[in-house]
Amino acid sequence: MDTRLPAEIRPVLDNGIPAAMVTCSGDGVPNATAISQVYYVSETHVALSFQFFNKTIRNVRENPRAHVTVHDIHGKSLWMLELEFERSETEGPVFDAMDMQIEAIASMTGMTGIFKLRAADIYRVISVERQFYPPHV
Amino acid sequence: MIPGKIIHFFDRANVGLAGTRDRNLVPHGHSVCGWALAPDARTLTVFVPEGGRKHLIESLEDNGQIALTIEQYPEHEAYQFKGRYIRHRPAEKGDAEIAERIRERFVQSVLAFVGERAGPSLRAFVQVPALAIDFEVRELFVQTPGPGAGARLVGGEG
Repeated sequence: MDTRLPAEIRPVLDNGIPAAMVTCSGDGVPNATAISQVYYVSETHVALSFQFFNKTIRNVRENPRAHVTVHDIHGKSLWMLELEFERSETEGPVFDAMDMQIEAIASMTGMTGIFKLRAADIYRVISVERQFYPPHV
Repeated sequence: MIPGKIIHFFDRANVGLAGTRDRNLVPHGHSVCGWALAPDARTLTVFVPEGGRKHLIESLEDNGQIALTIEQYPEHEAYQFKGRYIRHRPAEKGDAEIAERIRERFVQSVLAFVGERAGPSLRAFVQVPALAIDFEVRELFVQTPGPGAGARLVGGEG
């Protein structure tokens, strides 16, 4: 299990397939949700979009740990990232780049006007692991 | 009691993810390849492939907390079910048949976007079930993106 994001994960983060995120409230209730974007910041950090003030956003401010699954359908694998929330950015290059991507995703998925970036939440990568889908037929 | 509207949704949905947490409040995500509602309309069985087992049973036996999100992709209609673990067992032939139906729904709904060549990869995405987890649904939330996201449909005070 690595603690740094390998170069091969970068195109997977850009593939437009929704990722899945699990968080946990301070009183121990897990929350699972789809997220539209995992943005590569560096080998040690990713940014996730803060679009709505929802349970996920509340949870990571109570308990900073998060688990994200990113699907690489063409590579027949998934990547599992253990993350820790560090800070929220509402301006700067990461925010601007994510804002543009969100607009593009919203346009492609018919969600224009619904997807709107409020902040780029920056997470430290605790671990990253790739798991290949087993053949099923 | 899960509303009838949601029971019909189970037959359209094509993607799922389960979440648990361990004793240190560290969350864990688990791939899901199927679901089935018991006749009591309260107990949900979720099918988990081999690759989704990591931390799953340890976490459930420690604290019983589980969240399950099910989505109809690419429409993005989604609901989250939260509840308490009851039991688990090895997956059976009937469970695999349910997963197969969900796999085909998923493949047919996505092929239009990605092309026929992606068919084998898409089929691999929804894996064969290894475990069946029963849990009692105590809360149900809308998770479709938009202004109604987060609305509670079942459980709690609200």
